[in-house]
Amino acid sequence: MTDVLTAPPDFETFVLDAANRPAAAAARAVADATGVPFAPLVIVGAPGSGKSELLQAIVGRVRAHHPNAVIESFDPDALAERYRSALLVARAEMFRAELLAADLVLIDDFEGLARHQDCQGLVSDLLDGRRGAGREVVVATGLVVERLGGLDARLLRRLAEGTSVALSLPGPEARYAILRRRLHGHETVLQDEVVRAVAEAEFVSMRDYTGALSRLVAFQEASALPLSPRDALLLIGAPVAPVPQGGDALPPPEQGGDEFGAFLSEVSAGLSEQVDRWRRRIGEAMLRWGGEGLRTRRLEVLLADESPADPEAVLAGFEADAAEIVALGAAAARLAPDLAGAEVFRDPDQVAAARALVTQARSRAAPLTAPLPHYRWDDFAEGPSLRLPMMAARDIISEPGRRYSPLVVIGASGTGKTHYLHALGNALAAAGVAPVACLGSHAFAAEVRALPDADALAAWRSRYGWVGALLLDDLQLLSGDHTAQEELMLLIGELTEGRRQMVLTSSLPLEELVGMDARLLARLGGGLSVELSSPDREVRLAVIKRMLDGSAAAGDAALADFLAARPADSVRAVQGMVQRVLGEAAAQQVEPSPSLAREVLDVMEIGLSRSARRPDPRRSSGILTPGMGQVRSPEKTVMRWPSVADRLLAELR
Amino acid sequence: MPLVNFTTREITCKLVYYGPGRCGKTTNLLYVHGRVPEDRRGNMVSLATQSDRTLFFDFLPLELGVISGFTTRFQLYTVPGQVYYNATRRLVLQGADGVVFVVDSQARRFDDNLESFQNLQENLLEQGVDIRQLPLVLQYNKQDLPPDLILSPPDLDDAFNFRAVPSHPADALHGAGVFETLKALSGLVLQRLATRPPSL
Repeated sequence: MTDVLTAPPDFETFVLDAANRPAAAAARAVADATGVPFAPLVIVGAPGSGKSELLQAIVGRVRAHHPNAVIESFDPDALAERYRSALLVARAEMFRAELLAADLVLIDDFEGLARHQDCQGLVSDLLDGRRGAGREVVVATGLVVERLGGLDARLLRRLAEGTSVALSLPGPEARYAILRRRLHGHETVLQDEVVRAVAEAEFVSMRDYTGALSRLVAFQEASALPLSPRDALLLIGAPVAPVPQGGDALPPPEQGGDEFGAFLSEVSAGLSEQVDRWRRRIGEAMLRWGGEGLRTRRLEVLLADESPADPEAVLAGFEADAAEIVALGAAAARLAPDLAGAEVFRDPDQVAAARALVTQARSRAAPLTAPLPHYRWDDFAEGPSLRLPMMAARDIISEPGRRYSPLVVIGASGTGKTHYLHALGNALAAAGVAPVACLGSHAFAAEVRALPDADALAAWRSRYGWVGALLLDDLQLLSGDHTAQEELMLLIGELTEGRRQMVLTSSLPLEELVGMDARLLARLGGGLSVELSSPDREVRLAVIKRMLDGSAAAGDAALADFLAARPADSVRAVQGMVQRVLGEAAAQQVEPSPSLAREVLDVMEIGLSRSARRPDPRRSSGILTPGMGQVRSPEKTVMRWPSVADRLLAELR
Repeated sequence: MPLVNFTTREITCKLVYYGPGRCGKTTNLLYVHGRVPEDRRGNMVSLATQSDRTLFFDFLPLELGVISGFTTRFQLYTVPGQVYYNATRRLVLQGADGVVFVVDSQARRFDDNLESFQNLQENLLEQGVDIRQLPLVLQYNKQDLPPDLILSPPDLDDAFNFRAVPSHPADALHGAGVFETLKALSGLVLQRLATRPPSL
């Protein structure tokens, strides 16, 4: 043990003395909410006189009796930071209302408000409003009200209307009691005479006494010989006897004195001050987060630990958890009002439980549209023309949100964009990305249009802001819908920040989309754009073989080759071609064959050709002129005549 | 930066005495060594030439004991002052948490002091250290010599202390100002504990 204990102060351990009895009584009355409010209670005391400890004692007592009480506790710097943050997000009025509605407000180091003139009006209103509502405000300051400089007159008047109590340095007996209490459990380290000598020394603040005690404990632990009161006073720099001061530029070394001991004492004092800063920081953090209504059990344990391994890491971890639990609490309140104020959102040690609760609330709020399960990667035919999209998809599946986000897939109708999107969504879900939202742009826009009010909008944003991946089909359908585009832009920003995956499809390249917000297009342009082009022969063959499997033509390589050799703009066209051949074969009750396919498809092409030519103004008379490429039946199209063998077979049937 | 290890609860500070040859750096360490209880000091390592001039460097480890839960060690080094040992000076200077620049107060050594001070700045810069960011204390040694041989502390302040760092007159041979200098540097070094990122 090398340091005195510094347990969180409370009224039970607060040593009373004539110098602090009125202040302690008033503070206790505030904590117990007995009597008429002081409105405000102003605790005046020099630095180190125990003002902050008294505020902590009030917080501790209120918290012990009313665990759900809302306590706002801060110093002017923290207040200014929160106020300015609220102003930035246009929530100043909400912040003001929260302060007015809190069960108790405590402001430490009030004189520091002179540095934040923009907050003085807020504090004046706060004092007015809370006084009117019969709610208490406690203020701690190092200067009496009339000597507070840099504060506006209205604020000073409000303070003067309250009750001021003084907190002075306790007398030697009380100091002795305080020091003994600090040594609780470690009384044997220092002789009682040493503690009494320290208590009787002349320092300006109680902090100096406890610091001196801390140094002596450190020194005594490192030394085998017990410290005498005189040595102790020498070590802590308290005057023992007048020290002769020479006028020469070169003072003689201390003859016979313990130069090293004095050096060690000074180093100990400096080191203690620096090392023990973490205790003060933890105390401040307890006040801050306790004031926000959070449990600070982890910090209390840390403070009680004499030699924590890494207080920095513990404090940083606590503050991160506390910030997350506050955010989770806010999200839960938006999603499910019944969860607002739930106990789990007040305990930074229960972040995992809070996350689970919010997850549950989100799922409950409205399920997200998942990718259609029948679209699978295995069914997606790969060929040279699809190399880039397939490579991008593989990278995305292996590292969602890290490689290409947003990925924009461009392709004409029927090229397989929807299949690609849903199959990718299913693969992401299988890779553990959750939840995956996969929907068409028309559905996205419809959801946005259906939101009745700001609350619904906030809930909708929260629901989508949480997705693991967002897949949006047919981006071009958002053309002209500026509300949906705005929401999509916000969502892309949030998901990008969270490094979550986005994939969008469009039938047109981004630069050819009209009616779209330039900022949205710029954001999308920041990702990767890939094109699903017309299927090449390999893709067509793969699609055809898959479709022929299970039919009477399964394994008919000649038929598959014949069909794959025919040009097609899209996979959908290939599928149509195969279905037509299989349908015709079924209708004629024959097996599908290349000759049948040729016959069926040629007829189809001619039909299409006719229908395509019908609107031609040159044919308006209805008279078809030979030699213009027009044909009346497949038999007359010699160029497309099947092979002799096929023709014979067809005739024989 | 002082080495602070929260896991093993150790703080180690490296303090270097710098200055021209024969200015009294080793004398400072010898005086400190003589005043430290035996159980608190390690062996002073001193590699000196036959004429008692430091060849490589002096090293004096000080165990300050457990302070605020931390086992605290100070390591005091001197550098060889002679011009031709600059490589050794650079080596010793590496990782220094603070520097005492010992000025020989004799007027005839003024240029040597100046040259050594410039050398200190150059060597620090080579290591990417700005002398303005490093805890530095000036010690005006040999102030016990007759006044007509030495420059007074105000004169030396005018010449060397343009950054207003702490300065102490000293007579290292008899101990005057030795611990004052060490205390001043220790204070500056320990203050930096509070600024280490992430700070608490």
